[in-house]
Amino acid sequence: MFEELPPNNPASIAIQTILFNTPLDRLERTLEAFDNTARLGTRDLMNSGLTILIGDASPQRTVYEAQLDEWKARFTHLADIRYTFFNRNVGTSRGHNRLAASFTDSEYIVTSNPDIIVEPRALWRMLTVFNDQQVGMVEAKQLPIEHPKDYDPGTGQTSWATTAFAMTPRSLFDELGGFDQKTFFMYCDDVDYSWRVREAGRSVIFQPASVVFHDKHLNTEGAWMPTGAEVKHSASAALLLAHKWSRPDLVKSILASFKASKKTAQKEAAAEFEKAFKAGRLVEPRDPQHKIATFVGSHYAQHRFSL
Amino acid sequence: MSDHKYDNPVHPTNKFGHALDLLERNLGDAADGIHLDIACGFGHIAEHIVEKFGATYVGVDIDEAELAQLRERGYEGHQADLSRPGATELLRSIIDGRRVVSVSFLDGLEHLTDGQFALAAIGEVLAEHRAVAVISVPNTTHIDLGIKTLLGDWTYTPAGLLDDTHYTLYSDRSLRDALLAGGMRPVDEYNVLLAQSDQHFPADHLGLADHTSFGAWVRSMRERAEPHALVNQFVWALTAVPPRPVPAPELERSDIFLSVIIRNQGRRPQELREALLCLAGQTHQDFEVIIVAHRTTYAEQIGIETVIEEQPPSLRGRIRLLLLDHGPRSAPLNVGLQAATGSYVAIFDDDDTVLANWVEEFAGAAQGHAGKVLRGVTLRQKVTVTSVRDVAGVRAIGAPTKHFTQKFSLAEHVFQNQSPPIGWIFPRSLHLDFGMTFDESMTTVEDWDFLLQAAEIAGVADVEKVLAIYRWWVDRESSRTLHSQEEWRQNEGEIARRIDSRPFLLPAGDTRELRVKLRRLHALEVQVTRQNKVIATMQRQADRQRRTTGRPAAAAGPKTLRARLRLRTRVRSAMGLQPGQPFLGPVRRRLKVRTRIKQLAGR
Repeated sequence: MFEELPPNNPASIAIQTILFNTPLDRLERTLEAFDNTARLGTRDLMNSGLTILIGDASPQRTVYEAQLDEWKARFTHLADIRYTFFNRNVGTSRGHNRLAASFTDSEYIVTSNPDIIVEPRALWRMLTVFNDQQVGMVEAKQLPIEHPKDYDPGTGQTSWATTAFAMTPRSLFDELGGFDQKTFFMYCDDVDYSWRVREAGRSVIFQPASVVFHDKHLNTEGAWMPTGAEVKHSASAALLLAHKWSRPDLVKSILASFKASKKTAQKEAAAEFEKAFKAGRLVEPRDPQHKIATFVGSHYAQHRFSL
Repeated sequence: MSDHKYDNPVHPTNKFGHALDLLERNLGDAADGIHLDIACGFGHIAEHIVEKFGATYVGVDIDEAELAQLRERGYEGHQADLSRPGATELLRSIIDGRRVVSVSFLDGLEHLTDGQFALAAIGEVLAEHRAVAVISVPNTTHIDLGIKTLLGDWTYTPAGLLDDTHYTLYSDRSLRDALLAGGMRPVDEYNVLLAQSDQHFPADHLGLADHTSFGAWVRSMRERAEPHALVNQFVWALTAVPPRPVPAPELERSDIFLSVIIRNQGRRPQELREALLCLAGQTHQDFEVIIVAHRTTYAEQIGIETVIEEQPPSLRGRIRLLLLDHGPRSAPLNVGLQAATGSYVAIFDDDDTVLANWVEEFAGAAQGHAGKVLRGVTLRQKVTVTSVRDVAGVRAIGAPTKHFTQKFSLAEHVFQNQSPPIGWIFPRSLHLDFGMTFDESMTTVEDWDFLLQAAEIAGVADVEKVLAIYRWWVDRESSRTLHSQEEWRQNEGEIARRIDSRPFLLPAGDTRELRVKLRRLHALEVQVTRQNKVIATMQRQADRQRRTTGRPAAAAGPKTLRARLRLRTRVRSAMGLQPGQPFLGPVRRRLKVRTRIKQLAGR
């Protein structure tokens, strides 16, 4: 049994994950970890139904019915495993919104990367944070490389939460209209959602005792090695976020830097942004007094260290 | 006594004396029983058996001529061949309903074409009569034979370790197996030790000499690997046990790649959770986990069991929990090592973390470098403990940084450790075949001590990828804070002493590194010597000037390089010289002209 403070009430939770050519054996290990978490939650009276929602944005269908049936038979502690084939790469924000709309019975939504391995107690420790009604979003700590953004070492309050593994109440998600799929394809959709949570008067919490394993690679100097897709999409997202959160000065400097960059992805991002801007396709900026959004260099929070 | 090669007298230091001592230590009242002496030969111990124990001596041998000598001395002697089926019945007929109190079988087993029938017969007699036996068998793994075999020499002799009439040769292990198959096991030992066996020839054989580098190195390896290097004859007292077949030779000893040993004191459950999470996240799952709970209270033990019970089934099924309630810091590592079944072994300090490809990269490297120590790049990260909303968690307070050398160098490691245990794994063969364990007398740096020995024997293959993060706890108890600086220094000194006490084998390439470093050191020494000479000269000049003028010597010129360069620039400018144009020549010429003018002017 838990010796630490448990959640006030058992809760139903939907864990949403978006596949993009994800190897099935990795997904299976992720599901096994979720099933194990459900076992623990049920045993300790915290779980009233853990459902897994899989959205597949791969070019080809990854999971077939027989596989799904096998998983359902094997992972008996899960309330259900549901699979949706999007038939195109919808991105994370649209994908998560579609999954959330497809199943509305859970009290909480968890966004998860498909290669996450959850520590058995992580989910329930995140749920316990919602004993505080002011909390609108909780993020778990990632291993082996911890995210460098700063958080209050006592309250866990932070600027934003990464949706690699984060939990939010469904009511709040619905109230905020989910992720901004009009603006963000992937990357920064979580920063934007976090800031809207805070704009709504709720807090975003980083709980280091809730831990998930999320594979990352470092070079031998200790520097993070982003993939090509990460460079491309984060470049676009950086411009869109600065625009949406009323930082034209930043938009200008990022544009100048991307245009001068030797990286094709950044040049393309700059061109796309300018095109969308001229066509009036961008959302109206918000937070004009800069009370919510935090831009520190190229980050969206003060960082404890840089990777 | 005769000139027969086996007609040796009973002496307290030879197999006869040791066998009699063993009987004395293990034999109860023997007065109304018989002592069976199998392969008795001339019956050397007959008088001693009767005198010491009061038992009736009965000799058994295949050689009728030797038995005749025995009978001449008034002892009972039976001719029998025990190397064939029916040996038990033969012995029973000799015993003829009498009570057997003891059996001896001295230097006879190795002469039989098949010893299993004789051993089984003796085993049954021991079981039926609750008797004790003593056996002696030459040790063909004596260091003298080992070294000569290693160097390609194998010489039979008329008697001794390689007696040309021996059929089966025994090591400690193979003899134990053979005895067990016959239904016996040792209960006492009094082996005959000889630093120089009968195989210690020729006298000037450098390999056999223990003071040569080669001899000392081989002996140090052998003595750690197996404790019978100097045993000339195994002399054991035996008792009956249920027979067990001789195990088949192990062609493959491991079904899994890696055994991960985690020592845990039950005080950091969250760190253990994180360690197991890192293992659950591995992309290559061919490993087992051995958690050794060391000196835990009952509550701490329950805490560890709870963490294990909460793991996903696929990982939980591969975790074993061992309890150890005594011993120093490194004792749990040895307990884990003893229990390990993998080809390789990892020491996972539960407060470190590994990347997802930790096992996968090592498994890949093992394909091309099987048997070597495998070492990845380990970064170091500062961390602390924080309690967000009253739940303890680990908080990184710095980036993972390069702190340890990227490539392994044994020469470098002789000077200082650059490899936290989380960053390397070692073949289990080092323990099984070379007898390596973690030194329990060391309160710190036991991993460094182990790595040095492992690297020396196995060599090291580098995996040039970041595989692990060594956590540097800034304000929490760790081995760094638990032990004083003095204790660390003492243990490091002990490692240096051990390295210095015997020949040390460096891998190919390390001598080049040493040569480069020694060359650089030599150059620096030359430079320092030259500078010292210049300083001494200047000091002498200053002293001379002080003596002459009574004043301290004026500064020779601008002190700093920048000031000198500035002066040089000004002189160039005053003289109208271009950059790159010779400088000192024109200055000297102009100064000479100025001196001549002054002379002419009488000034």
